Amino acid sequence: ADVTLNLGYAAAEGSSYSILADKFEELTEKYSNGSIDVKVRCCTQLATEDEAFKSMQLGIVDMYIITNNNISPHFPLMDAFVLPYIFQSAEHTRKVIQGPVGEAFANKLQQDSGVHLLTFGHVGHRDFYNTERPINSFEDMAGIKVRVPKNEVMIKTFDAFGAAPLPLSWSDTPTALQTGTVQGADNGTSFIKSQKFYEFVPNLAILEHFSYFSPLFASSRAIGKLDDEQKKALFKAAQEAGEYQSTVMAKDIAETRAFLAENGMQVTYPDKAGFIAASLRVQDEVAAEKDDAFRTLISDIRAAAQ
Amino acid sequence: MNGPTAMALVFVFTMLIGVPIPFAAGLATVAGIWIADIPLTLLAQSAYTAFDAFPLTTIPMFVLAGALMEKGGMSEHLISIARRLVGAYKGGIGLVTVVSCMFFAALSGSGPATTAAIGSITIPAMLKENYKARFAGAITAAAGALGSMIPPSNLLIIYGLVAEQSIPRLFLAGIVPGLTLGVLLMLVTYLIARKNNYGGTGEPFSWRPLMGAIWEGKWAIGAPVLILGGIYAGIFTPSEAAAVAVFYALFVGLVIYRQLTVKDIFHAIRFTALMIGSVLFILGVTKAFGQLVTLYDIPESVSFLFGAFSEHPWLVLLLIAVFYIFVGMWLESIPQIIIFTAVFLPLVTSLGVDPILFGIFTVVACEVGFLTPPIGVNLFVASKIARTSVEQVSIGVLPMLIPYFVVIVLLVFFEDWVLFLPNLAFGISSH
Amino acid sequence: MLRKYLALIENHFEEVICGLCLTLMAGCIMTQVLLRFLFSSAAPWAEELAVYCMIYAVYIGASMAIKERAHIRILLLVNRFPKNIRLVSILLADILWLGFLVLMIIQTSIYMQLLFSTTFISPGLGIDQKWLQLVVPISLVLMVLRMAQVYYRWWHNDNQELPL
Ligand code: NA
Ligand code: NA
Repeated sequence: ADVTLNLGYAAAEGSSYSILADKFEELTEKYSNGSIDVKVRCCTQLATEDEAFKSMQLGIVDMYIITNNNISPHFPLMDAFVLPYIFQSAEHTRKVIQGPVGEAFANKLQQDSGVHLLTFGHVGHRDFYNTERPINSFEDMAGIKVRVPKNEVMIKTFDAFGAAPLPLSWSDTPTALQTGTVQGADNGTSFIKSQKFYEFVPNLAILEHFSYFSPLFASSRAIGKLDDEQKKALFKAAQEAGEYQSTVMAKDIAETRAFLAENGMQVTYPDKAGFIAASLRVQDEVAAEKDDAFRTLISDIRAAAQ
Repeated sequence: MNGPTAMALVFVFTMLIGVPIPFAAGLATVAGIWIADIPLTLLAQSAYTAFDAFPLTTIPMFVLAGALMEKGGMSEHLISIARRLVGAYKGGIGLVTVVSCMFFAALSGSGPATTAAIGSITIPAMLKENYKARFAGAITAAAGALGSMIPPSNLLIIYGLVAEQSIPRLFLAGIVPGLTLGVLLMLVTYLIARKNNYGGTGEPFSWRPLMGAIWEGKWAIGAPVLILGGIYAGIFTPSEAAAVAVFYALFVGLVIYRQLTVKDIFHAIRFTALMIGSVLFILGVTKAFGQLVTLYDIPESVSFLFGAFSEHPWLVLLLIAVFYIFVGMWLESIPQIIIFTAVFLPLVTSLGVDPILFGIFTVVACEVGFLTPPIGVNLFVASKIARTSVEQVSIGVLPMLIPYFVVIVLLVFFEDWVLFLPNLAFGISSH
Repeated sequence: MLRKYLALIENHFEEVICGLCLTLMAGCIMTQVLLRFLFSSAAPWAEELAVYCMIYAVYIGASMAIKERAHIRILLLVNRFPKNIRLVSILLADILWLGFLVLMIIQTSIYMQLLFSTTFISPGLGIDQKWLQLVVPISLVLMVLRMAQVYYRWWHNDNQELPL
């Protein structure tokens, strides 16, 4: 191969990130006729999610898949996608990220930071699990000590839900749940399975309150190593790998939830109306604190739902 | 010239002409980055991000807690209990050192911190009884490594993060191997002391003085109960336990034993600052070192090589142990665990090895790295306290490595003795 | 009088900063534990501040370790050299070490330029990371100064010892 690109991610091998990374590797090598060699490095071997974005700005890391809320410190506009219930349906999501809103967002990100956003990847949702009680209604959430990432929007959201959000680093979370330091947390369903939370957390509520996606980025230095043909191959491979990941993950989610139900979790589908109403207030509150670009993005996202 | 060779040459050359070890590692990293053709700003970024992780704060906090416990009389009480238990035998203070380190390991998560806290009292005592400085330093370094084996443990926390395994489960699994290691270390200490006719002047064992010492030292023995109890009761997380230990040490030293002065506190802080400035500092350069190991595909090639023996899982484990010990000579334990767990864990679990067992195995093998030059943090700490050279302690520590090898072999061939406790507490895990 | 104060600062500068950082660090973590245990409430800034304190303590502590000659060297080979060669070896080692520090100062400056031209907000405290990460280049400069001081004193005392 003429060019070697190192692609990293933080999650374990076999996670949804590896589905995207491995497919991207396969397609890039195929479309570039073997002139690009992609080397996939899992498990923070290349960098952690916290440092990967700056590493790409410096050109130290070629490519990386970073969970979207970890982009916010480097590109605050990303916080718009962290807002609760910002996407109203799968159709709405698709229209936003594959349409003009997503494209303009990627362009602005590249202009401001020098990092290329190649695909948004699969858009998944966080579900809520806890050791206290099954969540059937908005009221059931009251007072539960919830682990949240150190993210202002997420803290505000659980405050608005009536819970008691406690920011805790991910590393301490499994222990904290087992010992009762916190009583609940939220994650993507596949993650709840891979972390074996069903072993000791009895309640799962399909709340789908936060969206997350696994955007694939490339540094300017890495893109600069490619000729026009190779660039085209790379962009095409990224697009298709993202779509492939979405298809696989969408199929997986029903199976995963069934698995969790069989393995001791009581799965509930609470009425989301109260949660959505509280979330809209959070959205407005956050928007009021931010700049015009942020407010424009939010109204663009909302407009795409019409 | 290929990257790894160049890095090794630069490291060995600069270290031998007298460049301090963290900076020799830094110069080697510069060579590696230059050959890998990535921007040197990697060094600048990792100089900061290497420390940007909350669980790392346990290291300075446990060092500080150790220094306060030493100055405030807690370590003395622990040692006094140990003295009444084993003080009458040949190598009495050596045995006391090992037993005290085992006690201390139950409140500290860090090997170097345990070495510092116990060694600063028992090493001078051993020197007074005419132990060779290198032996005194070696016992403390080897027993101090128990600090990361007997829970709580920094290294098990790091492994748990990378391997996505339950940290309380790992902690429980660490207890029996940790105690076994301690007993074996006592055996080796006794044999060496008998050969060299060291010590053995303590009073013979009897219950009454022991009970007296235990009563006197109740606040010191109370610390592990508080710290482990607090973790298991969910009051604080393992990463927060070290800071709780600091306040407990302050409380006992100021209010109960009333031995701690403002000057002592200042000295403890100063000691901690020097320790992290000269020892923890090395993480800032070995972080980039670790990334280079990945970029040069060393993990994959090694894993591929070992996978060839997949018909004999025990052989793969033994090879990994040898490899870990070799790598541990050069790499600090934390980056070592992060880089190679990601590589070896999928391999060994596919061979049917339990991930919790592999965690204990990894930590024991990496602990040997604390004890092998050129980069062996416990050696650095012990040689500083014993006022002898790192080289001398490195020689003295060689026989103390035997217990580590024995435990590694036990881990490779038997698993129930490790998994029994966590399975009892949490039920059999569904892997 | 002023001289005396300057000497005091010169002697204890690193110690005081490290001491403050370590104290603040322990205090932050304990605050977090107490807030959560007693009031079920959170202090998202506490954990982050504790980490920053540690980073400051490590780098300023490294400078202190130069002043106290506490950095660990392997002198196995060097001590076997004849006296003149021993001095040359240590001088060469220290020049290489100094070179590394200077290179690090250059690289961290480039990195700081990136931090000053782009965004990097810390998630808990909400402050810009550039102010926090400045500690690395600053303490590197401090390390160079401390090295110069060690050599200045060695030269003026003109004693037979190695400048270790
Ligand atoms: Na321990
Ligand atoms: Na070592």
